[in-house]
Amino acid sequence: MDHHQDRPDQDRLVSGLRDATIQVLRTMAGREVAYVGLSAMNQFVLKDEACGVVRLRGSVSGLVAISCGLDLAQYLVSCIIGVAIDEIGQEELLDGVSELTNMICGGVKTHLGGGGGVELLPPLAVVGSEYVAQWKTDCDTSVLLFRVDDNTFRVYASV
Amino acid sequence: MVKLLTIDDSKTIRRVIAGIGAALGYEVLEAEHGAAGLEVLEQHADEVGLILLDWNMPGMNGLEVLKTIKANQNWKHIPVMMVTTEGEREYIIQAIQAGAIHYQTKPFTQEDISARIMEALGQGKGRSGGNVA
Amino acid sequence: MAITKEEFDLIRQFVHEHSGILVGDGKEYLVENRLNVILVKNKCDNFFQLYEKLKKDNGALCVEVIDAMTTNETLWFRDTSFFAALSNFVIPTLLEKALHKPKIRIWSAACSTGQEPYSVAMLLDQARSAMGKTAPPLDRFAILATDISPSVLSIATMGRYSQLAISRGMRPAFLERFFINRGSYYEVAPGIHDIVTFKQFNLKEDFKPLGSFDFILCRNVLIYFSNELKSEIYRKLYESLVRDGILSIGASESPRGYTTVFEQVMVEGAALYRPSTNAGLS
Ligand SMILES: C[S@@+](CC[C@H](N)C(=O)[O-])C[C@H]1O[C@@H](n2cnc3c(N)ncnc32)[C@H](O)[C@@H]1O
Repeated sequence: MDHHQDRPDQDRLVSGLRDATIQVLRTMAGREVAYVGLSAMNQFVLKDEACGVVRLRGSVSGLVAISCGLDLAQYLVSCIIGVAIDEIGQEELLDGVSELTNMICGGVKTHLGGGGGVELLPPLAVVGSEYVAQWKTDCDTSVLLFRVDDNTFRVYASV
Repeated sequence: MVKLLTIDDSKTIRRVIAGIGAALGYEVLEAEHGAAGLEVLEQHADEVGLILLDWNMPGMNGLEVLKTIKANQNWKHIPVMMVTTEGEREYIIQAIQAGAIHYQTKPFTQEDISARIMEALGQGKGRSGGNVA
Repeated sequence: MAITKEEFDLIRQFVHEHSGILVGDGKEYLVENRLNVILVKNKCDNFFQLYEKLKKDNGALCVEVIDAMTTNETLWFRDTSFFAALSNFVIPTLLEKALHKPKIRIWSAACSTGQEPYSVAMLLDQARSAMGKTAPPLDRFAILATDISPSVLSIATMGRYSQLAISRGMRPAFLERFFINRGSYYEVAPGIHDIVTFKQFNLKEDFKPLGSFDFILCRNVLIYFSNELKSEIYRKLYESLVRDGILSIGASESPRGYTTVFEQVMVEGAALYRPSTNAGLS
């Protein structure tokens, strides 16, 4: 597969992720997000303070992830469950980030041709500041950038 | 008093549903996987008026839980609504054929799911009443 | 098996005919997402069969399909500048009017789960208390709140909201004052609840039976409609307003291009509209 030619799968995935992210944050958290744009990395590296990763397996395989700063993650989770930010402990945060990842990626499955050929494995959530996560992959990673209020929210796809 | 039962491995979703259920005037029982959900039913089957069931969970998946519920004489009358990220028609067909009365995909708005719960409990005004599965 | 172009066109035309809601090009996924369950429940193998059933039914199934196609998102005090205009201009105008008119009628024309009409009722009551003894009684005001979707109306009528629903825009001072904390949920206080009446109503219908209004809120609903229907509804709104009445539409909406019968008034950065034949309101 040539990574630099038109890749309808990748394009569909990107537009699917964009719509899914906007929809998930607006319906579940009541937040309006703005899509800023797309960039690419030739590695899959995560280092924001909060991130969630889901593996896709089946007719399409790869990794989809979200990441943002800790403050934003806490804020979003507090909006979703409707409690004050200081009531969001580590447990709520991890579970909230997992579920956000799950919903954003779940929304994308349908965009990937459907037919039930893709399986989502359970999400992995990481919160904290002292780590860099890397996934060995030979395809490029698309990074979608969003603004939520004044913070950055990223969505990654490598399939 | 009628109670709702949410079976979902995500605490976040259970809390969202608990809050919404409470606002509609229903106490919400919670279970974090299928087996725990069935245990709750053993104890409270006569109080549960609606089950909200996730699909992807560790252990039994939602469809298996649904089939178990519908195969049990004491439980099969309890309406079950799927609440899941799985939005493909194949999944919907399987769930409805197995006896689910409604299928709500995540994400949902508060308004959406509240409306669907009221409808499932036959409280929606001017609605057609229970839907035939 | 996805929806075909032909099926998509049939279904969206049906939805448009019955509710005015316009489903745009490329929104196949929306129809699929929202109607798949109904399709399966009604034992249809494809959207064409569902359409055939819809054509014959026109009753419960039609209501269910339209209900599923509505977007019901709403907030308390949606749009800060609009609610500033409401507090500082519309509400004082209405209170003043209530001193010499037995009934002031307000209509929330697409009220979803009730946040909009209750927000207005709360602002009215708050402004009344600020006026002190000279204030008109709250029951001088009647708010009619309508929506096409029966399921959101049943929630609006209950007036009970979860912590989550409350967190979407409710102000702490109002929460304290206008809600009863029932532990797991909040209930709109009886005084506020009493002045709001809920009723199912399709904006495609004739507005005359509803009577005339001093203030109409028709917010964030016309955006779903076709241009012809927008023009028709603006005309009907005009006819339903009293001569010195006020119309409010969503922050992203404008009657420009659909009608010339309204003139715009900018208050606190929010646009309000009044019948343009009316010269004297200030
Ligand atoms: C996005 S909500 C707006 C709620 C509220 N006015 C606000 O601004 O927050 C749109 C509402 O319009 C209703 N609606 C759609 N078509 C309608 C029609 N033909 N007649 C009446 N209501 C309609 C929907 O059911 C939904 O509750």
